Amino acid sequence: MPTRRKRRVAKPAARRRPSRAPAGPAAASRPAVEPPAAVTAATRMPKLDPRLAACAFRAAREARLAPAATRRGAAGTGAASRGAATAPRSLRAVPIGLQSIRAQLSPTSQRDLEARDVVPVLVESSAASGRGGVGAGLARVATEARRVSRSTVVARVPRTRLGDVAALAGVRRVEASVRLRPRVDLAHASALLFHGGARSVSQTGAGVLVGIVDTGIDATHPGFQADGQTRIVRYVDQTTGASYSPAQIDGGAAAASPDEEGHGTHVAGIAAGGGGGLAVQRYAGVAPGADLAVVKTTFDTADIAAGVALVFDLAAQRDQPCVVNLSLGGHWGGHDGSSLLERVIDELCEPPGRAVVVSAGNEGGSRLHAGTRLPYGADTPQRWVADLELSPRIVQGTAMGLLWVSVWTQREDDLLVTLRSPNGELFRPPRSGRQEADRSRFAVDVSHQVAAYSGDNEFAFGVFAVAEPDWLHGWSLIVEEDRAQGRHGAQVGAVHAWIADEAMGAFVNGYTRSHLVGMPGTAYSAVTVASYATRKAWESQDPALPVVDLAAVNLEDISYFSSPGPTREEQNKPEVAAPGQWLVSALSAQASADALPLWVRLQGAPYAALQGTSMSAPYVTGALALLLEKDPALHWGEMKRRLAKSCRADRFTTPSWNQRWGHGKIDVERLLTIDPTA
Amino acid sequence: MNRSPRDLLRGARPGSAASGPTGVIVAVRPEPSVEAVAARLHDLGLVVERTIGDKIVGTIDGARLADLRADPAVREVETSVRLHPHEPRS
Repeated sequence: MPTRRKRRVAKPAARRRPSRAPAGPAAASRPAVEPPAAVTAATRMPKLDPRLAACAFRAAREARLAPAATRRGAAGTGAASRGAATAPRSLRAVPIGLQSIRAQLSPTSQRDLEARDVVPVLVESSAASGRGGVGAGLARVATEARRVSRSTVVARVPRTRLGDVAALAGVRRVEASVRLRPRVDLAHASALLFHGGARSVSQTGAGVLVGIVDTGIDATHPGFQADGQTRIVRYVDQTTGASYSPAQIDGGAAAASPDEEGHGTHVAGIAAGGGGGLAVQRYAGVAPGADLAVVKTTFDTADIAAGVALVFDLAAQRDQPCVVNLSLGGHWGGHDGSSLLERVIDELCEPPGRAVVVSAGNEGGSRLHAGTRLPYGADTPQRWVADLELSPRIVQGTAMGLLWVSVWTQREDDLLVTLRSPNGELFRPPRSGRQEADRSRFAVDVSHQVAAYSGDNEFAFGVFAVAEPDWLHGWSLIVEEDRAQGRHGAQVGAVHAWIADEAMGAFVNGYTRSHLVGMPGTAYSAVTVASYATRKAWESQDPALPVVDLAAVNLEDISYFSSPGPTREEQNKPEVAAPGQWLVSALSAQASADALPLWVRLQGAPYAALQGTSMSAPYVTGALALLLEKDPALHWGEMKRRLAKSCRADRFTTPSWNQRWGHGKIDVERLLTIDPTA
Repeated sequence: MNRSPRDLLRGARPGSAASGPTGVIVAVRPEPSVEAVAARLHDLGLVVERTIGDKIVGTIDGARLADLRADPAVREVETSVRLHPHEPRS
């Protein structure tokens, strides 16, 4: 859900209060611009749109500052020329501060307007102006005027006379004519896949297999068809065991494996959708020429591993380079790339021409991770405490608090990790194995094991509590140095704790805004992707919310939800950021209204706007498909190197890697043209 | 409450199934070969879905997980946990 949504109903400027007159002696000595009554009247009916108002103000200021002879020459004749040394009458009452704020609405078009001596405008007349409308008056002021409807005239007006147009009797509104752009997806413009409304690269992903392991796909969506045939070369449903060939998909058999969540269809559309279903393919994906292989997964790690392997096997059979997208994750394991799923991914990516792209996660604002570094060699044993709270929820029909938290410490360290319950009981895992404790109001499950791959320690705690405030709050993790019996205490001292899911609860203190990339995003070979914002408004199918305008979205900035890295081993994750906050892509016709409510569905098109690192990952998947079309034998290491080298930096990012942005914003055009030896 | 807190906790433990098929990824010592090890682990009840290098993806009855872990050819067993699509929840 968005943090804020509202109808885009422009608040009339008439209802805005004019700035209060400044107080003090200087203000008192300053002549009033207009009587208060005129101020009220003018601000209630601002006839010039904000861009024109600022433009006219600047013209008036320039005329005032210009030498007298020049002023006479430039100001023209009539009423406007007499008043040229001051602001046009219709503008005088509008506070300059407000003018300048409004002018910032569209800096580009504003500069365009102010660069012109004659400004194209649309003039709306009121019904009271009669059949002739404002045409006669306008003809005296404008260099050119043409009626385009009963109440609207398009005209070209000298910049210095905009105020005169607004002052004409019968004029209701004067609006700047601004140049619109082809409505290609904003994300493509930001990622420099498009320049001036057209693709800036020749690659389309042709000959590359894009794998989507997700909630399935609406195979009937026109974005996944070419010349009336499906572009999906294989669709496997792990939830039922079904597998569909292209002929079966074209025959409609894949309807038995619908994408009821809509997630996989949207993801596939971003990576490789063709943009079909609209007259203009404005919502085509990044690699619209790629082939698609889709696995509808159970989301169990074993099935995900099998799904990725299946796609790469298929690519090998077809002798195609391949990129697999995983817009999924979780907070199990060591967050260091050592889980078996992640090592499977590493192994599968080893041959050239293969990559796996993973979303960083959407826990950027969560309190899932807490950590510290205990100092080495302190005089007294060091101790760290992190408090927890459980979130009440329904599990198996019962209201309860249920939380799993894992504490990871380095193999070099001798640390004791203890769970303290709200009533002060202490639960410490055994040296090896697990123990359970059952109380009347809660139960705990504690375990300790040494991770086979890294040798680090994992202390896992499961907590169940009745859904009562006294038992949901007041839990603590206590980590202490163990220096008894020749033990060394903290050598490295790094301590990390993760709650498995933000629906379970949160840390109350000790939490960080780092180390929130989950698995398999921490896989060594995976390209892990953060999200930034490129869209904040669209026209929706929801009659109650026909225009969604999310004012809180800060375009081009990192998404609030994008999970920051690094990994537990301080490896750089994520690698890159891509558009992921409100991307328009294919809408599954099978998606329920619960999964994709009307307000995210676009008006008049089989497309929807969604956000998440789930959306930014397939953007990079598509970009890598373009890269593999160009150079099919690239190894993932080289793909990552080029991604890092080609990233775009701006005022939101930093010059080098950082834990939220990775190396910066993806620049598709540069990725494809970068000198391989650079 | 019909079930004890401990039962509820056990039921919600990630990757823990007291019985019934459990998804697993198993890292093995591939001697003499992964296929040979997979065949032997099949006798332990492991249903092999796929081998990927020295790893086997499959399912096994939760009650036999301990036997699987104890096999000398097995280096690591990771029980399958449920991940989720990356959509913001707020």
